[in-house]
Amino acid sequence: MQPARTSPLRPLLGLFLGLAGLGIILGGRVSTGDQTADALTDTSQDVLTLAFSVLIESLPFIILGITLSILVQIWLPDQLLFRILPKNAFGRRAVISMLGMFLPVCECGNVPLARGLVSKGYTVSDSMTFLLAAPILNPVTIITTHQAFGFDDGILVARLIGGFLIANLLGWLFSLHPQPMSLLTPAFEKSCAVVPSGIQPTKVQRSVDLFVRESSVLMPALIIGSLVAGLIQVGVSRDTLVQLGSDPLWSVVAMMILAFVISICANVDAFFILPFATTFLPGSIAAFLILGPIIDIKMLALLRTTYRTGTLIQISTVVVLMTAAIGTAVNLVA
Amino acid sequence: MRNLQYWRGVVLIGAISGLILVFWLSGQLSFYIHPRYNLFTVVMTSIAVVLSLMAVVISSKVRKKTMAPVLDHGDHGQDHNHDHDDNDGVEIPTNSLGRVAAVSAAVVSAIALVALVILPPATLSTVTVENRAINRASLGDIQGAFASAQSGEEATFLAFTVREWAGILRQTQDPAFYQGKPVDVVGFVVADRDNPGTFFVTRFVVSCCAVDAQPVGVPVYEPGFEQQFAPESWVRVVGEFVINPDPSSSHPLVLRPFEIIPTEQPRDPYLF
Repeated sequence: MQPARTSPLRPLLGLFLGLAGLGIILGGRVSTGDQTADALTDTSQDVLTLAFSVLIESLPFIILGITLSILVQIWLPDQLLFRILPKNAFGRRAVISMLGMFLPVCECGNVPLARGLVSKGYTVSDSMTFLLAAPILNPVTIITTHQAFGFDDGILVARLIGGFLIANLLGWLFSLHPQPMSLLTPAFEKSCAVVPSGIQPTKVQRSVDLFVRESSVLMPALIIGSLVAGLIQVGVSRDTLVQLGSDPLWSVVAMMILAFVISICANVDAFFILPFATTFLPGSIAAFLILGPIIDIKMLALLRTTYRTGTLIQISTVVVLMTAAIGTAVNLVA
Repeated sequence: MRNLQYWRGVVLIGAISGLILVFWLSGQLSFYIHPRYNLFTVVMTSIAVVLSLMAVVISSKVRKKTMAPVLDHGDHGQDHNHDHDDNDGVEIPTNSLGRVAAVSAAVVSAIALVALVILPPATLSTVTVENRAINRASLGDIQGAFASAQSGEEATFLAFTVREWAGILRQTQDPAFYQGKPVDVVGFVVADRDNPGTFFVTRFVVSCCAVDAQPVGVPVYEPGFEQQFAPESWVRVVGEFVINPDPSSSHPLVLRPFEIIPTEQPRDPYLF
């Protein structure tokens, strides 16, 4: 390996180029100011507005997730995240499901965090348990869901228990896999195998480098997921979905489709669904709140950065069946 | 390929975060998300802008010196000779289809970024109104609005938006209740397809972000409105609720306008 030779002026040139690039982009935005976008039809304009809404709503959580991932991978002592775990596999996964209480990130932020846990040495199934449980079993989601629904109709309780059960079931199922690393995409599997060389950069340098790598993987996935979500929302009539709201089974199916399509984060989705609470049965609201944090269009795009397509089909199948069962049960009981 | 793959994320996250800060400064962030998330959004995107600038200053240097070749030269498929000889941790797809997908993703992302830069932020249109149906969802604190309406204070009525009036209309259709209660609301024009001569003065109500925007409105009886007001044009309607002069209409009560004044889109077009 060649030692790096860089001119002392290079960082300044980099900063200049970065600021200039940012200036051009922001200047372009400001110069078009309040003009109206007459060039677009209403339909394409609404697709973009909805897509950008998903993007702008999710991006801060992605940034929070990457930041926490950097903290976990670079700044926390190596053994800290292992010391607190029980030896027994079921106990270990149960404790991992609760890690979200200390790392309050929604599902899209949890993708970089779960990737960080695998890089740190967690097994694939353990990190998957975290990835699926943490968006629901975390304080922000619990508080916002409670603000929206209180303890009415068991919606909050069903959400918490449902999230815990599904995450632990999937964690257990995938722990039975003979070659768990083969569940990951080859590119991610390979990046986990990278080891540091003899020339160690500072922690700040490694943090910035990790920020670049994670954003490189996640940003295109987030943007494409948001665009597809925007397209489908204009294409699928919300009105038709809402009309299914009073049937015990169809209301659950309709809400699961809605959760899949709208692709918003678990920390805020309770407010999203609140206006539907009067027209939909409680079990279907619970199904929305359980499925959305685990599987949706944007999340599949993000998960595809890490897991193979086959793995995602298996996860989706189990999650959809479990959510439908829990939602229908709540409808019948409530 | 490696440079594209390495730098695409930081360009996207830095630029989009910067744009979000511009939206916030220009008051247009509320076109996309509820204002309760503004602080969190501004703090996180500011962090992303700072990290992105730090990245262009130090990251290429770090990237060159930090990562050694992978120790495990195991089975990575057909591209055995391509990437791992200089693996620096950049996630490069391992087959040609994957590479095409990666380049396409970068291109689509770049187009989305350009669209965010050059197209002005816009609120949702009647396409979304038709997709979601007016007044179908919950109208918020109907009981509270109804209780306030019973107090009889004129200032209270004038402060009501279309959401409060739509809620009160859902609560009672007694024409006597509305006598002497002035209505002064702002919204955009959406023709009522089922009832000719009637339009809804409409607003979107947002509880989280534009994705959940629900159209709410009150019916205004004004035959021939199509000649005066274009669809989606913003108007201020001053009037009173009365028994619908059109007996064949599905609305028992309608807003009879004293005047309809064309107006600018409000700074906050959505109701929160």
